[in-house]
Amino acid sequence: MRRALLALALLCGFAGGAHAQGSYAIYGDYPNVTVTGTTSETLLASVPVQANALGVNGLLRLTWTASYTNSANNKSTIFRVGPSSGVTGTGCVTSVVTTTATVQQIFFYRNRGTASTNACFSTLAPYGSLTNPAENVPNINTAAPWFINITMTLASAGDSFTLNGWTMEIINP
Amino acid sequence: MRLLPILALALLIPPAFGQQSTNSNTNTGGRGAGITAGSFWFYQAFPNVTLTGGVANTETAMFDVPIPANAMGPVGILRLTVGWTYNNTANGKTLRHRFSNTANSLAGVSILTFGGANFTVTQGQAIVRNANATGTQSALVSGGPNNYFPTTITIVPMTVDTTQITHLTVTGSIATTTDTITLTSITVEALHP
Repeated sequence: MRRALLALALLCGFAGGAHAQGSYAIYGDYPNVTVTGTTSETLLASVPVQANALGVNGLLRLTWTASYTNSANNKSTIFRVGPSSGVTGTGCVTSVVTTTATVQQIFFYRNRGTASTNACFSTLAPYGSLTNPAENVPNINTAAPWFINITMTLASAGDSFTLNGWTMEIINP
Repeated sequence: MRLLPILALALLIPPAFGQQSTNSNTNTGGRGAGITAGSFWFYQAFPNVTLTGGVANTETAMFDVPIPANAMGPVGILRLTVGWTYNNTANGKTLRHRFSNTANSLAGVSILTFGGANFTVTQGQAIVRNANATGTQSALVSGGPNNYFPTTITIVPMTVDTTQITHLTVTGSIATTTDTITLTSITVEALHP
């Protein structure tokens, strides 16, 4: 009986860790933060990811929505991944918008069998895009805390770009 | 007996499934990640409900999904995925998916609207995002089944009270009453960070 209770206690304790097989977690925010008046790369949001939150075969899916000036000038959103918050980390995906006004897209990030082997497509087209994008392999260490740094670079300081909201799901098989 | 305190402590630790983390990071340019404990709710069905006959060009409620109160939270989202089939004709067919506090309402804002002329099947997806409040939403409604791309449309604001039961009402309208449109599948997910 004691052994059974101890085993149960240990199981419950381990289940409280950051990641277990078959887990699903949701994170999100509505920062509604705007970049304008600068052509320097500027942080829109820094999304923290806990150590081991993304399992070795895990998938991270971040859906985001933005609105911006409809102009011919480039407005470049970069998704950077790395161990620190800020305008830093490996550029994983760059999304450039011009003569539109709103965008909704999905950023995917996957581990590939180990905690430090990971990849993303260099395009944000979520499904059905028969393009020829390069695949980026930042291979950051997801066994330690890491960040997805979403930044904006305006080609014209007179434009503005607003990150409305983002939702991140982490799916661990 | 000495194991009982350990067992009690372990039981206080929540399981990882569906568990959220907390993080109080605040960073320049962003508000940081306002992450709190959350939940996930979903509904999935294969209604196979068909609209045909009736009165031409008349919007008709075909299916309704009630969503529990507080399923989204102030920064949560609702993600709708639907599958449709129709007979392949050039006649107008309009599929709408309205979000409101009323069952089978034709008055709610459509978060996913598209036509089915000259096609036989469509799969579409849309998102409604609570905008820092449980009674204020925004949605990118492109006018087509794909809502993940840059577009010139403006984001649609809504004021549905998500602290109450909300509804996704699927409606159809056909220009020719001999045509048929069928909602084959529907999945509604509420993500509450």
